[in-house]
Amino acid sequence: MMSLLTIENVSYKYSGTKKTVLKKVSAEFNSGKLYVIMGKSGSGKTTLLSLISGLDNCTDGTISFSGNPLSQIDRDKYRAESIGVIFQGYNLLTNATAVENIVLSMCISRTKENNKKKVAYKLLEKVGINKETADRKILKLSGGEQQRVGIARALSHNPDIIIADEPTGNLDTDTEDNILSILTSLAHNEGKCVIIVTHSKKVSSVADEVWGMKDGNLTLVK
Amino acid sequence: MYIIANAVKNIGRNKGRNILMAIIIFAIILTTAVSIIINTTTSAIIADYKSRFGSEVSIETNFEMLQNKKVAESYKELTAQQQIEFGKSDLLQSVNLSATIDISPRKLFSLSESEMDNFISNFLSGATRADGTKNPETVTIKGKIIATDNPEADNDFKKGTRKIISGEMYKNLNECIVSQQYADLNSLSVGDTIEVDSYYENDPMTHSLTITGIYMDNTMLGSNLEVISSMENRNNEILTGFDTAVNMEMFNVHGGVSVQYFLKDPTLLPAYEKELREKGLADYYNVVTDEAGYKKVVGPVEGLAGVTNTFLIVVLILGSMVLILLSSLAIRERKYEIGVLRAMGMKKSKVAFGLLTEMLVITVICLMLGLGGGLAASQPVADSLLTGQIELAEENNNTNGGVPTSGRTGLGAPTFSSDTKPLSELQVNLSANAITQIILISLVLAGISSVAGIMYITKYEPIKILSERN
Repeated sequence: MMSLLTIENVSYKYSGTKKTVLKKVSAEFNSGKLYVIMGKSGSGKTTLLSLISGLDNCTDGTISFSGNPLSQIDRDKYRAESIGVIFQGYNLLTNATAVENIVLSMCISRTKENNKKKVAYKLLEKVGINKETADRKILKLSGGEQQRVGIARALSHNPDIIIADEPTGNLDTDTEDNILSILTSLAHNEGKCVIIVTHSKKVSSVADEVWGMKDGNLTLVK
Repeated sequence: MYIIANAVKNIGRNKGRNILMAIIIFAIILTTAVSIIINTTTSAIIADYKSRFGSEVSIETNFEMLQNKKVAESYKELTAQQQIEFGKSDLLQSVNLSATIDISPRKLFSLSESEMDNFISNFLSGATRADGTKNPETVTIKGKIIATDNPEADNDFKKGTRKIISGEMYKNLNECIVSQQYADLNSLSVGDTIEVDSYYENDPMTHSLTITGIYMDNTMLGSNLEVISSMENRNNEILTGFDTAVNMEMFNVHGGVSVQYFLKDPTLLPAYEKELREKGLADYYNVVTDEAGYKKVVGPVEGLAGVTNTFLIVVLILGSMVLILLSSLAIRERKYEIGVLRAMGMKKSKVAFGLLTEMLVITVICLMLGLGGGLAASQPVADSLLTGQIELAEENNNTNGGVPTSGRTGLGAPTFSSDTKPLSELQVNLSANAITQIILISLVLAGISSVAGIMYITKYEPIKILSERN
């Protein structure tokens, strides 16, 4: 059976440097599973996520989505519809409200919802953001709240793949449990492919597969 | 659709930056609107006057050529017949023919008769004719016949200084109109027939004219000139048709002709001159348009147009530079937003469209305010600038000693009919042409304001933008 996401011999070098961040990395990710990638800071985890999410191009090798190399498909459409990214730095529109961020994401991905705002409020509520907070500008939210808005945005267009870079890093234990439960449910109950980059052992403990990244090499740990 | 909605929301989300942009765009549009409104008005006026002044042709003597003895010896004045012949051209739109004949009606009194009449008559008639033959004895000239083929073009009637108060304007051969004072003096009324005589005593030529109307004459009203002779008193003028005058026997002896030629288009002047040369117009005559009159009337308006044009160019160049600088600075602030939108999957073209829409909305608001403000401000600005230009023109005129710059002088030189008063008022208006120009410039401004952002979007991948910020 064809994997949802295939990474074949992917290498990456930042332009103008000699250092290879990723060295012939290969892996396969499938629907209905929760994957965790662990590793020290600077080992190349975030770079790999950027390549998987179509935000950057690999120097060598191929990343394929449903058998189609990312280099040959419309990557804007891929980012808008097929993948949801939870950024470590949140990357939200700071002058817009939380709900506006979600609605805009749904508009970009052409989500066929008549009342997008209502769906956005529901999603935010699901990650622990009430209506009052949802109507506040991102700049006026705490780091944890922004993290949860980022998670809601990643889920807003019902993507096949959800990628999360330290999604629970700024959250309290209760919220962390809640978010983990949501991500696990998305993988196991809704058939999504969830890939999480984390240092948290708690997160890795719920993963179906754990991958280790060291010096640009990716190996299956569990 | 969501891009437009998001762009409109973005204007409110970034108030400070957008208010600053709006102030600059408004200032540029306001000054542009003022300049363009004045410019389109002045252009229309200049085109109109150019057409009017450029169309009226005069034939004048080239006195420089007459300095040459050979040329001077061969010099011949234009005959009435020649001047009439020159009017028969397909290049002309219209021709105004007028004739004057000095007369001395034996059976009629004239106003302001005095000793001066005899002196002037002797001076004008001369002892000998141009061909060397002796002039016959003369009597005092007591008035003149003024004839025209187009009474409606008569400036005195057009300006209202002469007005028919009884009867009607002459229409047919041997009809005339006389002034009210002349009619009162001689107990004349509409329908009477008068006899006009030449001023040769021993061989008077007499012609009968029927009065069809009486006119009131105010041409000398308020004049400081003391009327000292009957020839100077314009109430003695008997007005008749050109055909009537040229059919008078005395016209061939005492008549003078003045012709105004109006071209169909000012650009036909060289062709018309060529035609006149072929008809026998000597080289010591110049075929010219009323350049001096044109400069006097339109000069200040042209100066005003020049000032506003320069102002417009300076404002647009400086304004565009400020806008580019400001949008480049603004994009440093916005690049994170662009990176987020691109990371969310928004296409480059849509991000660019969003940025352009924002600037367009701001520009349209500024355009509406700028058009209103420009229309309100353009009249006082135009008045002030025109006053300055008129003063400047007067100063220049005084420096030249009041001498006209064009050589339209000398005895027998035809004069232009144009009213040579400079334009002292300019009624500005917002024409469709002006609105179109202002809108186009505003659109260009919106484009310029967005260009830095659009260039930025096309240049970088989203990860690059986001990693720079993070």
